[in-house]
Amino acid sequence: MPDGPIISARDLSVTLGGCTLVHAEAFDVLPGRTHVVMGPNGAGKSTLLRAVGGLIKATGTLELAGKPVCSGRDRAVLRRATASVFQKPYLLSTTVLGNVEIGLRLHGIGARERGRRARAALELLGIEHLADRRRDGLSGGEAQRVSIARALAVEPQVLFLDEPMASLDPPTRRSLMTDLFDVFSQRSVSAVWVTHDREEAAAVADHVTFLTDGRVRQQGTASEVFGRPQSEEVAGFLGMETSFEGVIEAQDGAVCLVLVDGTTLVVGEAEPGPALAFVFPEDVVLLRHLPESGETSLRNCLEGRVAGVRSSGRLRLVDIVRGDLRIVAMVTQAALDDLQLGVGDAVVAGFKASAVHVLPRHHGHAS
Amino acid sequence: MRQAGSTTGHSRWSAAAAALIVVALTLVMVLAAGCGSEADEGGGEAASGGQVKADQLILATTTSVKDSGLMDDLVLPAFNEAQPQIEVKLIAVGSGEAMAMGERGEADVLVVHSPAAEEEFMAQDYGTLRLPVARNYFAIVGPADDPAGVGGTDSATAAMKAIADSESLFVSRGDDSGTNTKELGLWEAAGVEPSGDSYIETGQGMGETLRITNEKQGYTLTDLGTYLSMKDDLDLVVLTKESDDLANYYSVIIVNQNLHPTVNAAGAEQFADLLVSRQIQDALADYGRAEFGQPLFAPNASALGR
Amino acid sequence: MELILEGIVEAFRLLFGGDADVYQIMLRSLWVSGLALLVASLIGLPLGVTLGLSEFRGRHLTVATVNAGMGVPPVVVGLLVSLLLSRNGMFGFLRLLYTNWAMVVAQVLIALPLVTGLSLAAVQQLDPGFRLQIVALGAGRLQAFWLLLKEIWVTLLAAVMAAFGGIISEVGAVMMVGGNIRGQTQVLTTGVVEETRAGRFPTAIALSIILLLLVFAASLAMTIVQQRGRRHA
Repeated sequence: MPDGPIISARDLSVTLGGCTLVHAEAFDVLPGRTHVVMGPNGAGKSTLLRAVGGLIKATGTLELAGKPVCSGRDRAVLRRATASVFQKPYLLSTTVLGNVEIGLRLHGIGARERGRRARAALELLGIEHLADRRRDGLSGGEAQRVSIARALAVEPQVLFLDEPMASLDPPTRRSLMTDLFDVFSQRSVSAVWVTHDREEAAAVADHVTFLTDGRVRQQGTASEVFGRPQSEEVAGFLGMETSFEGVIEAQDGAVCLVLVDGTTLVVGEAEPGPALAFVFPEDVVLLRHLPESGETSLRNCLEGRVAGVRSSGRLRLVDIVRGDLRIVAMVTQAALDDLQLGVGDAVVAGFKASAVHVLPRHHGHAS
Repeated sequence: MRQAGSTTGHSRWSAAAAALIVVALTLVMVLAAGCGSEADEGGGEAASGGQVKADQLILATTTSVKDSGLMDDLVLPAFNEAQPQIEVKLIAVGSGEAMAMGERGEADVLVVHSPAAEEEFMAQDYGTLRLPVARNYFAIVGPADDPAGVGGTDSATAAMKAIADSESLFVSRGDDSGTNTKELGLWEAAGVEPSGDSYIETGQGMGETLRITNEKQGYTLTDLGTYLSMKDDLDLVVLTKESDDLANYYSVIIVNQNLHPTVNAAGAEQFADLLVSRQIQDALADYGRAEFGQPLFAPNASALGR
Repeated sequence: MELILEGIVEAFRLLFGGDADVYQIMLRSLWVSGLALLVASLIGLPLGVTLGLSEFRGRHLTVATVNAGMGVPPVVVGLLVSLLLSRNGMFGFLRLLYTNWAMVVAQVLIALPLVTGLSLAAVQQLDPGFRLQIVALGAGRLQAFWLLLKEIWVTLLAAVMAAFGGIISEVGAVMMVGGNIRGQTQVLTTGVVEETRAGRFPTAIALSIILLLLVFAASLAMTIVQQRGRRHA
């Protein structure tokens, strides 16, 4: 496997009627890695995926294993070197085996080899028992497994997945994710995975490209993007509902963020100057009373009142208000019951210095 | 829940087989029809089979003439025997339309029964020759108990007046046909303006109009041929005698070739000659006797001595 | 009632007694409509599918034209064809008016927008993602076309059958361009009209029954294929 990127795009743009749908300065697919394209709905993720996969025309340069992709013929070569899975399985009206063989048939592979590889792909996805079934007898999860098996059967250099889990219910999604994880590592699949779901993104990403409004907002390794979101949009999308605005200063050997109302938060490393900071709701714990000093490792404890409680799956999101500040904490219902908290009750929100993600505020950046 | 693979596979083949059978059947029927019609008709299908007869003659006539079967059963076979190289196309249209076709040169020869309109047609030079062919009588039919007393009148004009006076129902074809024109002429002669609930117009052919008249037990004006062919199914009887104002004269007209060079005047002349020949005129006198016990037409060409 | 019964009895006598005229009229109807359907399908199916799949300047106008064509009353087509084919018309020199060919031409013109429009609709019903998926699997233009056809063939067959039902039961246009000439261009529908007009109801009923049977047979075959197709679609 070559060390360089399998697919490499530079200054890639897709325009429609003079309007730029998506633009990416650089987009690489590295061997054996999963590159997640994430962002809200309508951000241009699928368009970027299609451009990179040669399904639609784009301007800029696109290379497959170092060879430029320019003409329609080149794009056809690119399409044959890759495979796609979409949100819907789009199975043809034939048997499961017939579906998985389609790609191989289009690649001109002989019947014997076709059957062998198709069955191997079905086995890989754990659905060899479905081989003779027809599409209308399949569940959504089974159908999507067939679609993935069909894509893997052609042994693509890059696998494109466009919201592959979006139509599945959570249990089906979890089991498919687990199996896909195994397949990806076992086969060292190179993939581009589009999703609007941050849990899904966090689970599979090696690299992340974050898009909003057709523009790349942040790009990097998964730990870079998830650990250090560089804009409010990214942070907000990642679920950092709690944000603080202030100035970074050094105080008593610690780096602090001094907020407008005078509150001082201890943060990790940060350059001095105006800054924005975010905290994940799951990093915030709730206390009934202010702890005694030395009783806790929580460097930041803010007193406030409960303004509301929302559900997020089995967990609860508690909105805490302190003057103009709004802090969101994610806790279990059990923890909420233990604290006997209700709307309007006084509460203390605590979080570690390392839980505060600081974004330097650049001049001219709109607040 | 689970469907065995073999079963679904089998059904799929049946579906394909069913589709194939439908396609095959259609093809067979199409081919059979193609061959069959050529075989059945010999030269009749010639135009569609590719071998066009040397000559084509378009005969425009009124629906009542065509519907009587006179042309198809008697005249055309005789003409085909005499002039096998000419293919006759018998087109049945409204009486006005038949003459309009002649006017435009879309027809070569006309057989019509609207004397006034025919005279106008000839006066305009649209036709070169007009010969009387046959004659018969219209009839007013109605319920056997005859509430209007039509049976007691001695002319159609009087009969129409009786129907109007008794406010009995009259069913008109209202379709501008020769029969309809005749009916309107009779109302005018009777000095009656037909209107109101006791006068309905069907806008349809004679067969349909007779059916409606029968259902409503009203009166209507009909040609004899259509009435006789339906007689057994109708509770209507002929109430008039063969009075002069019910007379119905058929003529043949040769369309003017000078106005339209494409008109087959030679063919038209041969056709007209045949119509007024002794052979056809004699056969005409008998036409319908076998089926209805009385002839539908009386020969009328002898007036010219041919 | 008596009339209808008598008509039906007579109808069966004509049908199974092998009445040459009735049989000939039926075969002519099948021949004319079958040929017209074949021609309309050969043109309309590829046209409709291509229109549904391709993007080009003026596509909307073309689609609108096809849809408008589906709404043109058959009599209007009949009038147009009869004017064009009449002696003094543009194609009068062909000598086609009042022949079976004229009826085939009129029926092709009636069926063509139906076949094209319905197959266009069949393609448009298909999720556009389907096509993208097929292309993404590495299919070339023709391969993609073929795979898509296999997905919608049942609907396309329905389009063809609908057109068949439309033209075999059409009366106005064939009356105008065929002329309902006995032994030459009389078809089932014009035969029914003439026999009814002349009061010969038994023959009219016999021809109607044949017409009904043909249309029923077509739609029954269609239903069977469709249901099987749907079960496995």
